[in-house]
Amino acid sequence: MKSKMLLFVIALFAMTQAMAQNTLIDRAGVASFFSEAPMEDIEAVNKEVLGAIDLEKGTLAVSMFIKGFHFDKSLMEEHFNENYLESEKYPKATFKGKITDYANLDLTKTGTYTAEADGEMEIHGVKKPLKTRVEFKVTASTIEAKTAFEISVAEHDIEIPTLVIKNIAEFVDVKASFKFAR
Amino acid sequence: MIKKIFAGIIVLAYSSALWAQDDLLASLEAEQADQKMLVEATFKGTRLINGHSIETRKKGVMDFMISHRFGTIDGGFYELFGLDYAQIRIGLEYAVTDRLYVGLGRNSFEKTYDGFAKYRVLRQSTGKGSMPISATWLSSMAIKTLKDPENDLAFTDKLSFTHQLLIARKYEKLSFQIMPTWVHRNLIGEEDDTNDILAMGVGGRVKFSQRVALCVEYYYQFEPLNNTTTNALAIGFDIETGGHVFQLQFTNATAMVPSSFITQTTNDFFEGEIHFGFNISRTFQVN
Repeated sequence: MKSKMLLFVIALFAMTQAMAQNTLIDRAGVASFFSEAPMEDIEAVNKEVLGAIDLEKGTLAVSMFIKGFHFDKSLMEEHFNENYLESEKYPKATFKGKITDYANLDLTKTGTYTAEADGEMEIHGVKKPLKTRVEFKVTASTIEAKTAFEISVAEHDIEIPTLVIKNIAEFVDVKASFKFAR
Repeated sequence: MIKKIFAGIIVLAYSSALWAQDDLLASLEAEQADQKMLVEATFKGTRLINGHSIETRKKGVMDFMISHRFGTIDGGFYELFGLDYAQIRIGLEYAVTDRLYVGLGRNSFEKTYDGFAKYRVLRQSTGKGSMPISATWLSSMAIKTLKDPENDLAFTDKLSFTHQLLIARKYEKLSFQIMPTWVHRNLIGEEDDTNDILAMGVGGRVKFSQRVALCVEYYYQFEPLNNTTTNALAIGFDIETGGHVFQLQFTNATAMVPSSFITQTTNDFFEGEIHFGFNISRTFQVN
């Protein structure tokens, strides 16, 4: 009885290990956004983004803290957290999705590939579907992934008061890049 | 029996680990659980209303602050509810680090110059090893330069000092602050009772929207300077627009330097001796 149990546990453990090996994680991914408005440009960078790719299934995941975005102007950063993204209520932005047509993509061979990621983005507690082109650069030791897309501020229920509407753009350009060690 | 339960728990633990592994996002988020985060913006400004809040600006930010306290609103229409008359303070403040904040100002009340240093001792945070409260130390020195021809006062006679331990906690839209305070005057008048005044301030704010908050602040003096002074009470609104914070308030105090408004307020709020006033803060990122 006891040995059977132990065997079962070991088997389970082995399975998780096997799965983990197909998953690459980058803990220092970079996400940035830029918005151009009549009054001022707004730019912020987050260098502590977690990104993961499951090479077996072609699934992707990204998770980052809103407070990890840093601005040149500290007051802008405070307003971003406090007034717009409400980061104490909604601390993270996440993405969960898969690479479409993953069967035709081989990320084990070195080279540069373009693929489409299809999934769901959650910002400010609002989930929206997101389709974006991802550029993969595979080298002997790393897999780099890069993407750029646009998000609508209004679609994520981020309110902009009329008083500052000239300072903030309705659409924000987002860039993200990851470097996974193979 | 116990063994079976134990085994069951192990199986459950592993199968849940499997689940987590299956959901990529969940496993990423599990890594981020419990990360320590500072609680920001307990108050919108570096002042609660008349007195200081625990807040300081971030490193390299300069804050130019203009404050007015008008005459009492019971002056009626003839004095346009006090607007004919105003006490002014102009101040320039700078954040040396994220924790250390210094400032200089000049208040028309008794032609007082003041200088202060504020240090954030504790910062409220969430996550692993979190801190439940924020605490900031404030030391302020004021020099009264109003001419006093009857008395020959030395420089040191004109000095007063205020030391405060500001303690605050933010609960989402609500923030509370207590302010144990010690005010020392080097020289007091014949009608005054004490050089040292201990006071306890209490205050708070509630956010109505992302940009508007209601604030209340009250300072209780355990032993007042003399029998003509009253405790300073203030009720105000904070309105934030980009780089500005506007604070509009109703208060029985006219001075805007801690040693003055805490111990030298003479009006009675509940007798209608209320002053309308405002603080405007404009910040600049200097470096």
